[in-house]
Amino acid sequence: MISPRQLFFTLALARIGALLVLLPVVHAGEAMQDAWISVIVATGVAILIAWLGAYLAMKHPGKSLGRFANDLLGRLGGTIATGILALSFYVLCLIRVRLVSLVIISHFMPRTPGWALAIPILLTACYGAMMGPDTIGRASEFFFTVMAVIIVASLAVFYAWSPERVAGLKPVLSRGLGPVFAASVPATFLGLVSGLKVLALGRFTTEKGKIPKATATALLISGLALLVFAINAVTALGPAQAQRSVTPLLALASSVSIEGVLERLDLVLVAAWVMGVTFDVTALLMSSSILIGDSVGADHRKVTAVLFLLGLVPVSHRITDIFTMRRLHSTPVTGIWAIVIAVGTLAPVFVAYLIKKRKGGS
Amino acid sequence: MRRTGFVALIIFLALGFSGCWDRIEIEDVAIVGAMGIDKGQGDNVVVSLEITNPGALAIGTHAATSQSPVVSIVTRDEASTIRAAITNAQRRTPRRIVTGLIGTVVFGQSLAREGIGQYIDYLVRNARVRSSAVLATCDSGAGLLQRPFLSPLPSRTLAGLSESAPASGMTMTATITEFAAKLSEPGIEPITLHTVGRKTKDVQVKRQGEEVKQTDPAVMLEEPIDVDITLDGELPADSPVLSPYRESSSGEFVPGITIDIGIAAYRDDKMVGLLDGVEARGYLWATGKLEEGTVEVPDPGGSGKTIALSIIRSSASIKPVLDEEVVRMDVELHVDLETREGPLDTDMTNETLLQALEDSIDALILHEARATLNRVQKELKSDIYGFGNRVYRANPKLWAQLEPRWNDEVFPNLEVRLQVSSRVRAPGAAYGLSAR
Amino acid sequence: MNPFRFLRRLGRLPGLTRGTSGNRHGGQGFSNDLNKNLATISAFLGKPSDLVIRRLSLRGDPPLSIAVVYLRSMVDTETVRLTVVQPLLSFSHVVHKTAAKTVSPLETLRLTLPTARATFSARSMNELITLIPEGKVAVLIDGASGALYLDASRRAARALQVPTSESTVIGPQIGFNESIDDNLSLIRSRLKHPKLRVEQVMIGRKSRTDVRMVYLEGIAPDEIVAELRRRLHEIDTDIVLDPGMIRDLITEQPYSPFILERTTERPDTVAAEVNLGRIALLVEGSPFALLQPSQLFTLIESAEDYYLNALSASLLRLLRALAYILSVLATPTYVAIVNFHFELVPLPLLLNIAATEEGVPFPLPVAAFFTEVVLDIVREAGVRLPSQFGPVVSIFGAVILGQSAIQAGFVAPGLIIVAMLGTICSFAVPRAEKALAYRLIRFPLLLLASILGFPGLTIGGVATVYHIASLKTLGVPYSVLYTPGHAARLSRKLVRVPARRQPVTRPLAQVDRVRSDRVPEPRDPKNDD
Repeated sequence: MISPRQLFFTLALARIGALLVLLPVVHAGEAMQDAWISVIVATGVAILIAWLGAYLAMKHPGKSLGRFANDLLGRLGGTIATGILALSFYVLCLIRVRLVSLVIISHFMPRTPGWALAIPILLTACYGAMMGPDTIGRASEFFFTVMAVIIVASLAVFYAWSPERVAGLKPVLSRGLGPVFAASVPATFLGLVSGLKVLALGRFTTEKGKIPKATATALLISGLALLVFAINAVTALGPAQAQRSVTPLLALASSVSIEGVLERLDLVLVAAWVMGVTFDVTALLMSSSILIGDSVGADHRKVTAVLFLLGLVPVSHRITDIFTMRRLHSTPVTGIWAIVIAVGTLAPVFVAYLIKKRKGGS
Repeated sequence: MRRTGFVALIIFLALGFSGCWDRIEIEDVAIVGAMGIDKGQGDNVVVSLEITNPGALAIGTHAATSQSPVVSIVTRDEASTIRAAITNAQRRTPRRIVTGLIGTVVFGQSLAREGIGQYIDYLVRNARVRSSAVLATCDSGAGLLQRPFLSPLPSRTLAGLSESAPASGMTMTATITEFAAKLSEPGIEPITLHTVGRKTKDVQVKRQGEEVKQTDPAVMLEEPIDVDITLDGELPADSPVLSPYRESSSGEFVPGITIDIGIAAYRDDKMVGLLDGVEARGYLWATGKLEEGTVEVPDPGGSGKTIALSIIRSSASIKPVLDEEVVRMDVELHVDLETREGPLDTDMTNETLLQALEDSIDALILHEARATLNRVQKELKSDIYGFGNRVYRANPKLWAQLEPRWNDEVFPNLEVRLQVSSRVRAPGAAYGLSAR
Repeated sequence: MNPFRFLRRLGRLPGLTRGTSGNRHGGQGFSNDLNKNLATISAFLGKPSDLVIRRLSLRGDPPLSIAVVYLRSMVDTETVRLTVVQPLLSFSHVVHKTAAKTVSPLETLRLTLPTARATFSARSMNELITLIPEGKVAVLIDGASGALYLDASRRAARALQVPTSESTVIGPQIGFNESIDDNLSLIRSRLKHPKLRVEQVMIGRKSRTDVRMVYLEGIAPDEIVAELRRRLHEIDTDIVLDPGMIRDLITEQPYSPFILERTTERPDTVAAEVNLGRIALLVEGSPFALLQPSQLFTLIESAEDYYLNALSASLLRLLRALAYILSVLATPTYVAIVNFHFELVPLPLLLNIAATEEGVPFPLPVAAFFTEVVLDIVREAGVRLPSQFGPVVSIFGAVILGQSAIQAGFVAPGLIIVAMLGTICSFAVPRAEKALAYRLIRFPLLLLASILGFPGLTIGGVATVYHIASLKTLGVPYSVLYTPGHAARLSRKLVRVPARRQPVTRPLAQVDRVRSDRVPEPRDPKNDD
């Protein structure tokens, strides 16, 4: 079993790990220097929706979505609802492995084939997922500590809080609020998916009452980290440059050097970054296999093994398509995806839960 | 069992990766310390790379193992793109050329005036080049890579220069990131450090006892170790060593050992002009970027001598005033100074004297800032101050209207109100001797 | 409460069964004929040269024939004389009298040996035969199908000495020796609490080693004590010589490269840890105690920490943590940086590194691998040799070999510096055997670093952390950083909190809490409904 605190670490760390690669908000660069506002919007919306999931998890202690969706919606409905979420986790997990391998290759190791990075990452994730939520919970304590230190240290280096830069953060809204909301969609989606892992991990959490709080805090804290990084990237690189960069954070880190000690911060950051992403991928893979396992009625370790084997090829086959990767995190794709999860999974389960509760109450 | 299986699998996979694709032995690497980019024939660029030979540089026993005493060589290659030129250089280099440690990128002026967008793109797109590398504009990019000064390597000279030159208060450096950010942001134009290789009289370089005349720009191979520089005869009256702040001669390839600095102003990716010495300081006043430097004003006490003060810090607040159609900038400058040098009998604690001193500093700063502003507005027509960006932030709709004619019409005629308030913070370490 | 009574391990010798002591007279395999019994014993033990069968004939009518049987090598002969032979001889008339009246000659014997230590009846001949090699003295009487035995064992033990493997500058300077009773006395004298429990388990079919669990009842969580007891009872092995062998038999992760449970030869450490709720295992014949359950941060703790002031102790702990990390990561990181990410090194430093690498014929990872192996060999050689030769080996190995390798251009000095740094760091940590185990993962990490650089190193690191996080000792997670509880928080482990700020009694709160921390079965029907 994992404690609410470990749940918090796991969720927050997974999201930070993901955002370190993507900094999704800057991708939808229409918002220009107001991108940071969309982070706040995204975090708020993601917390609201994920709280719904956490609430459901709290009300069904000892069960994951895979189980209680079956109870609430019947076998077929439950399987579909669970399947959508589990598949989303799995696909995102594969995408992320591809993405991180791709970025490392394009930035640092042009001659290394993609599979040489993707497969070890997936293998490590599979190992961690097979060790179970307990292990992940305890590992998250390590990683979160390390990540917190790295983030604080890198912020200290990245950002000299010059008044000029802070003044530059005044909202401009040159094109109105539209672009800001559009930019917030990918971030919302990623935050939502991070938060909804609680539907799988809630089953293993002690002190059910604290689940929603842990989930919300995790999204809030990781949202804060995202916010600070987005502000940094936008102000230091300029909005256009940040939008142009494949990974704004690496571009940012590469523009900073600690004279006489470390010339390239991005090379250090990439280590932290691989750590975060590997953990994130582990959490996604594990959540997916727990959901599938509970829905089908199989040991989640076996499901993990199957998912790992299934993922080997898609993860490593011809990693060259950073453009596709970027499109996958664009506003329309993530928006539709988020709606599918909300309408396909959360809404029916929640409605069914309300109906059941009313019946039970009356 | 499962766990051992995992470990075995990991090791097996790892052994399978026998290729070690991107691993490279450090001894097989040609480290490029600085890069010069000049205009070649037609649309070509000439890329100069300073390649260091670590074996000859190392201290201790290992210097002996090196095959060649050459500390660094400079390659020059002409091609239509930087990448192709580097590839050309690779053909003649027995080690893999690595661009990851480039600390300074020098653009030749004639190329800079035609536009360096594509080359900036090379630097930004190539993740191996560090974005914290300093950009410089020079009469000739290759020229600067030829002569080391107080350091065995030209690249070290340049790196040291870009680090310490802002202490003069006459220039500021811009990294690749900063340049690219300004290039892409609305209403602000980029600048770079400008370096000028000054032509001196032919210098005689004593190299291991043998005298070599060094003015030949085509010299590719340098052996600057143990260089004993002796100037030929007396220092000439116009030697740049003594009078550094002079107009530069542009366009011409000038090798030389002295280096002069200023700021190159760009409009988009094209260099439009050079702010030299005091002009550059005028720009730095108005942007509040001045952290060091010296101000000289006549003694308000009337001794006819000059008082020198050092700049401690400066700040500038730029406020756009947007009426219906009229746009105006209010710039307030605050400068803190400390007295460094003056006539013996000037009492720096005297309030009226201090007031007078501050007034004359205000006047000087105002004059310098205004002069530069006038030149930038009327002559260069490039908004390196970022006034447009302030308008954009304050009123994006208005900016959208103004943007197409900003640099050509609005900015040159923009009313800028300058207000200076300087404060002489301390008399230095002594009150000054009182008059007898 | 006699711990012997309910914890006496059932004999496992094939064909032999042995009950606990009891008052029942007679037993299987005994004959009424003394000579027959003695012949059986002697035959079973193979007539060893140190077998003493001392026959006493007590005058009377009829004369009673009594035999005292023991192994000379295992028994204190003086004790036998004082507690068995003399009483029997001097009270022979009593024996006779009572023997005539009472039911059993064996009961008579028991009454006759008042000065003896506790006497027990052997239930069967088989039991008796297993007991004699343990150092028991058997007393048989003619006409009774049974035997009594008592303990007069004597073990060779060296005097108590300074603990060599865990020397500290300050603090108690006494270590365990090979006698389990001496060791127990050292612990008891430091924890004179009535709740200190000592449970005996005999382990080993052939060695029949005396193993004792020492813990504080009420402080050590009951279920963990029960778990350890269960595991000890399940051990089925021939021979146990050291706690390390027991660790290997009860561990959950036999394939893990890490050695989790801490062994110590310091009684003060054992007392401190037992006071915290850990269980100490003492093994007869070994000066080491095994402390369980174990947690990651005990790696950086040293007994000294509690004798120094809080600030210096905290500093030392941080240093040790750094030393651990460096001893594992120094060489792989160096290889990753120099072979992949040399851009992050400042140019002047890089030029120096590059200059030293110039002319070295081997690829860096290969050189690094061999340097590490050679350093380990040098270390091993230094440890094995008698202390007089130790310095010679280090001089030859480290100084001459290293210096010559550099001068000959086989290895770059930079690499030697880094590899040496790692090795020195591994000496700086309090428990050398654990440092060794942790250093094992250097090699896979080195491989990953030399193939994939930093990303590879990080992936390896993540896998290692997953592995460490999955480890458990006695069902208690090995790595717990933030679980609430007084002694559990990371900050209190990385630094030592002043003694005044700590609660007087600090049970292993975290152990209690995380005890339930087991992976629930995915199809647990209780959870499902």
